[in-house]
Amino acid sequence: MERRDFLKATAMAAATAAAAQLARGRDGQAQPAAAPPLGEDGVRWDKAPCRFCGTGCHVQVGVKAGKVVSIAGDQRAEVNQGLLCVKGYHVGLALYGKDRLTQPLLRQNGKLSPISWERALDVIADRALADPAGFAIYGSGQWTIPEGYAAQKLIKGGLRNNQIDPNARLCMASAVTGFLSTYGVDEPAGCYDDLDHCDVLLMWGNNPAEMHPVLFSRVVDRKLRGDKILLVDLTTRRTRTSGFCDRTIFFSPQGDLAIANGIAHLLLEAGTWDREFVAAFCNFRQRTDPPTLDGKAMTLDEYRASLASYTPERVQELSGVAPEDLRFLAELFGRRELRITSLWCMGMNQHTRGTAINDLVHGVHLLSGHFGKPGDAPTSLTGQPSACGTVREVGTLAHALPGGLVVAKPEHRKEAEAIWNLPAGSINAKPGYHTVEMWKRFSTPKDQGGDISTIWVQVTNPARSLPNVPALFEPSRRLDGKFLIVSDVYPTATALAADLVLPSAMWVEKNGMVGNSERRTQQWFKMVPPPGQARDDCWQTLAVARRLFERGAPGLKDKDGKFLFQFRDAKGAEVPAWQWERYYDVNVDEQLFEEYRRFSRFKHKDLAPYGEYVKARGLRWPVVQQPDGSWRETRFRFSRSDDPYAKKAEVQFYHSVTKDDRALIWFHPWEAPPEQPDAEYPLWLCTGRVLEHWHTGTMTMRIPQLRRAMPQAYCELHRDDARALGVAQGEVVVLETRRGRLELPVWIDGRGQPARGSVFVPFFDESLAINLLTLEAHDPLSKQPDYKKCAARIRKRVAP
Amino acid sequence: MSGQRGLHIGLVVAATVATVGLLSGVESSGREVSSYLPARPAASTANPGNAASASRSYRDMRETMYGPNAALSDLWWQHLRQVPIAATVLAPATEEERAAALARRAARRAYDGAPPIIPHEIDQLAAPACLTCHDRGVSLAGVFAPRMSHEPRASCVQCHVAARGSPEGLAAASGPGGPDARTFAGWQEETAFVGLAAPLAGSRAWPGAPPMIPHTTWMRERCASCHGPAGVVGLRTPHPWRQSCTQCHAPSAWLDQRAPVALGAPGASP
Repeated sequence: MERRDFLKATAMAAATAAAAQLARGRDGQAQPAAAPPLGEDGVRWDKAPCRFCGTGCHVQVGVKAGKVVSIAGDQRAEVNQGLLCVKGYHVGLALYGKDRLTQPLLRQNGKLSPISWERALDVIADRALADPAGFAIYGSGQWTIPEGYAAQKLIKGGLRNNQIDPNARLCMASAVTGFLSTYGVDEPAGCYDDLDHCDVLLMWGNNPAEMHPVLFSRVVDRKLRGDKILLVDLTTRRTRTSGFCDRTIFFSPQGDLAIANGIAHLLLEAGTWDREFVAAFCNFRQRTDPPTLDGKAMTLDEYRASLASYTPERVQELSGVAPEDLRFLAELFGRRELRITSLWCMGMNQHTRGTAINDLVHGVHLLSGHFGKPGDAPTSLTGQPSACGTVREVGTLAHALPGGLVVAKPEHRKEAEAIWNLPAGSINAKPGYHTVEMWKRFSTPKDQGGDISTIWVQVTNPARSLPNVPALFEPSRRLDGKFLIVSDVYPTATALAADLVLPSAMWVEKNGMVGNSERRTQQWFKMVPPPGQARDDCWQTLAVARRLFERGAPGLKDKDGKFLFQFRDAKGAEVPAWQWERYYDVNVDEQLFEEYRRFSRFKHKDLAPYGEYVKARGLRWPVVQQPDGSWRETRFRFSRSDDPYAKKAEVQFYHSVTKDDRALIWFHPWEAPPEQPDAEYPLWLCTGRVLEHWHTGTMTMRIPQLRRAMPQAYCELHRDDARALGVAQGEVVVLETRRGRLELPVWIDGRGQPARGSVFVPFFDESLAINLLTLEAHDPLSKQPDYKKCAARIRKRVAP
Repeated sequence: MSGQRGLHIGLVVAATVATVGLLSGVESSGREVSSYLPARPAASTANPGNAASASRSYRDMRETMYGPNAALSDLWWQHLRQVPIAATVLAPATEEERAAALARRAARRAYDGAPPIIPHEIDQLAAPACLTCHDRGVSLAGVFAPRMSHEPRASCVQCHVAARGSPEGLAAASGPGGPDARTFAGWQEETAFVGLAAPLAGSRAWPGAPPMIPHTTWMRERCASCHGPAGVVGLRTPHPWRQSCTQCHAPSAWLDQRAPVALGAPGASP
């Protein structure tokens, strides 16, 4: 190497190192963790959780000359142990689609035209000041924890209208209400370690081979190594998961309610339920009208009587499941020595009786004592990287406050006011609108009750992911006085329809923290600069908050008259992090997290200091400090063997609804779904994901390897239905529901096989948007819509 | 035709026997589920109305090649013979051969270390039978199914996806379902991502010293897959009879994520 080249290389390496150090902040606890060194190939490797699903795999990101050049599975990560799925291996490419948004755009004369950041902030502040009550933030389970926390504080502590709700409402709200109504506190008791210990894995309407591939491999690779495990697939359509399963049991849509009741009925009838466990740790519960999370008490005899009609024969009528299959399931649960893990995701959550089916599956586990031992757990999976971390824990929902607190309870508001240093009585007790309601009101004229006038969307694509897009989203784009702000990285369908578009930094272009499905909080540092003028979502929120403060918005001051968001350097001097050029002078993530962390004590969801997460590949809460000063995570919650807060007995439900350390076993009847196939619309329509794409495909469709493998949406049809319709493989058909129509090619015996009389369409394709057709009917408690069941019809397309 | 079908059946039987063999003879855990495990995965038969049919129609069998390798040439089957692999001295690869091998590798992955895409059609639904060919590798009549570079894992299609768009035949669909109707132009553009290139030859302490392994050995622990006698021309070792590769060729703790971070990379400036 020439001397000059050497000097240049050395200078460049030093500059890169300085940039990497900068992300870590010039102060705070994180600083001792120096940026990882540069390899002799010019590549610097650092850890980050994958950007995509809720599994929470860690990747090693290889960065060279300011660009991501390589990805490797992180061998130190417990979640994935060095393995990834095809999306994870290609996650680095998500940054480099050629149409990244690089400057703020304002719709002027119908066209999106570039404006400055200063102007953009003014436009947002104008909207918020003109109609503070009608200004809403629609967020995401892809928000990082500090991003969600900043937005939460701006809305609940600043504007105080409580109009904040996330897309996670559409993906896991029913799991939340299931955990709350059963255990009194949210999030699974078990963790991924259960997958290493279970003898039986029961998947309830779940296709982890495609949706949580790394977790699925954790189980099927055990099989390859010789472990005897029974994989049982409870499903409405044959999937890739079915191909690996020892037993596949098909049921008709909504039949899951009957199956769970049928299992409970048989356990009681055969006497194989766990009397000791139930006597020690459970109460029985039934619904009230209107339904609540608390319900009302019932006795064992009343519970037994309620289940009496769920005989195998009646269950067969309701679900299509054969009596011998139901008896097989009940027999498994009746065997005390087996370890049974149940997994579910959207099948049970996107359900108009989502809370009920979540309760019933927890109930089957509790009734049979399959709870609290490694491998014995009912575990819900999440679809987004921080649906747990940012939505459920930070509480970015219309009714919630951080740490499992809610706005409706005065004592909870008081705690939040204390941490946020707000005058007493500042926080509004009235919840804002849940997602469907927020968009409905945004799509309704103001004089007809449409009191939401501005929505600021961050990190999500509601123009494609809301149900019934023609009713919930599209009218707003034609109504006067409705203003849509979108922060995103690509021109998504939502961004293209927006009035103001803000270019965002993504993933390793910024610092971040997220929380996965197993209560694991994860952290990463900024590794590469964002393109053009793209900036962190968290900065955008802080900058708008500051603009509102400067313009005198009343709520943006704490009780000492200071701005709600304070950042300080190591010497205690204030740092104006809302100025972009000063944003990385401190580690904003760390300072917001340290404030947020104080909320985690109320519901025993203890989080460790930020610096602990810098060292770890994530830690599962509660993370409790040990006498020697170290921090210990918890794998099995409520189990005395592992959870430091469970002290009284083997299992202690210490946030019990009934305040007696007992979980609730609920009875919910089978009920018909709101829309069923009829003469006019004779088919069931189900929607979902595929392995290669994530959500609405805005990132994965820009990755050539993934797009080529799965280039477009399709309509999965049973062979006999295709024959009856006279349509051939690949033929384009017209699929219609009462809400919309879509032309799609037919795929027979493709990635899945639906039952006769039903079709499946994936929702990743922005050009072929199935949510033009889906139904917005939702669960009465969780407010989560059902994307899995509505009535549809198919006809041949008449040649143009 | 009948010969082809016979071979299909033979392969299926072989794959089944292999799978059963793998799962039998294993110690019991004490928590027995064996009685529930069927000989092969079975669907519920009790509910024909809901049970999705797995069988193909006779029309399909007659008119189309069948199964995941249907797109392969007929020659594949007609020249069914294993090319003998000689464990003898091989001539060292030429620079051209090595460059061609690396170019071929690069064409099938986004960056060095990414899982290669599958260059042939696959069964999109069933549990994959990839190991039938790729566990040991097959070389037949110029068609080369490489031996996989890592120990078998069960869900191959979790990481490896088919190169050509599925659903099969749908790319030709016209109208709103076809590729022309894209309103989201960004998809059609190529990515600006530039992946890390494969390393060239590993460094040597002095001329004649055994080269270090220049890449990670994680998921590449079966050296012979690429470097063995049945490996890739251009990457093959000239001494294929030696079996203990890491006796002489040292892997990199840095690349293998084994180096304690505090020690840093060799020659690195932190």
